[in-house]
Amino acid sequence: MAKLLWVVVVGAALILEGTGLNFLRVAGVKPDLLLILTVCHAYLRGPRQGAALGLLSGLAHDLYTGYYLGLNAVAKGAVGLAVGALEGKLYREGPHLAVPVAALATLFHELLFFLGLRYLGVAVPFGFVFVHIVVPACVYNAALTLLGYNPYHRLLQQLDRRRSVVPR
Amino acid sequence: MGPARYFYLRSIALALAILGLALYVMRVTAAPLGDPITGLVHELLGPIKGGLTEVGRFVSQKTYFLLSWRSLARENEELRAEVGRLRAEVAALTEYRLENERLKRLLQYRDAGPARGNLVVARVIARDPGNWFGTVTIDRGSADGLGRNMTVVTPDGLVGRVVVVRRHTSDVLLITDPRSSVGGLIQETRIPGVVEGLAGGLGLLRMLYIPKDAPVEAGQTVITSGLGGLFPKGIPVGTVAEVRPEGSGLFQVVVVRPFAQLNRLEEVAVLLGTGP
Repeated sequence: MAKLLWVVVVGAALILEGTGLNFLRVAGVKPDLLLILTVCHAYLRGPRQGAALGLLSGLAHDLYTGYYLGLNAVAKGAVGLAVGALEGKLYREGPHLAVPVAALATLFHELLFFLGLRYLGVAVPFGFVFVHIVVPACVYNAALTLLGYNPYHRLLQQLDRRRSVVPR
Repeated sequence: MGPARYFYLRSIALALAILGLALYVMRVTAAPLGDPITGLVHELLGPIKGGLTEVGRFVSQKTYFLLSWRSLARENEELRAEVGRLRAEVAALTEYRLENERLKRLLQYRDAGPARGNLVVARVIARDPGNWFGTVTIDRGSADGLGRNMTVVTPDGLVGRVVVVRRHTSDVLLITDPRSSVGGLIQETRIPGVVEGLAGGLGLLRMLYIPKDAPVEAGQTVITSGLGGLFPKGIPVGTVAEVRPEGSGLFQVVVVRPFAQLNRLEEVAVLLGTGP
């Protein structure tokens, strides 16, 4: 049931990114909901689940676009693994540290993506893109993490309570 | 005369006096007749009447709300509902008007543009979810005559080319995608170059291989050169926004702002018969 829920959530976030979120661009950049979801989940659940969700959401993104299969999967999976390694080491009852972690995770993700594009022969001027895409994306994703972290934390706690009550 | 008769006569006199007074007062308060006594009475009663009317008006205004709140509340609710309905209707009509204007411009472009009537209008139904690439999905495909590498435009300018064709939908690679390359030239000076996308979300292009000493300045227009065979010649691409020296020192890099609103596309036109 929980796995099906994640599939639905990832699918909904992907469709939203490809449609409605285009109208919410700030400085030409829109938020990466899948990345925010991966960061929050990894921060709360650890590297295994974080990497799994990152790989799943990244793969879904690649399948949706239909090109460079694996590019987003690797980038988001790596982010899930890195952020998940912080589980238990940082305060997680509130978004105070999750927000800067989300900003750094976005920076890491975008750098991995840039390296992936270079590997695939897609030339992008790094300095220009860093200033006009990477930095605004870090800020935008951090801002949305500030809004979404607490509700997501409560949702996971509710799911945990339900799992402990319902006998397998 | 006995006391009974006196009392009887006195009563009649009193009744007549009262009757007379009543008749007189009736007459005084009827339409003005112009006689001096009537006029005097009206003059005396006028300010009193005026004062009493003002008092009555004041009291009525202050108590109207209390006395008629029920009907006012109902009328208010009905008017609010009607205002809400009319607002929604105005919004819908505004949307139709804007769509009508956009489609009219596309029809005018069809008759006067490079395709000369041979084009298909399509709606944009989805975009790339990320910020780096620039692709959109349109609701036309091979069933509508579309093929790979066909040019996609709006009345404002070049949008991109069709890269994936399915039966009823297609993917368009925007000119702002870093994988896109367009043969261009500066309209005023005829200097050729290659126009590439920077990143899908940025909405900017760069024109490369412009010689260092070429006279390029902001505000000049970039059009397609027709070289490479992908895009027909003469389609407006954008305007020069900035000129910078390139690292090697041999060329300069020109930043171009596209004419088409690529981050706000709603309808596009596919030029049938274009592309290799």
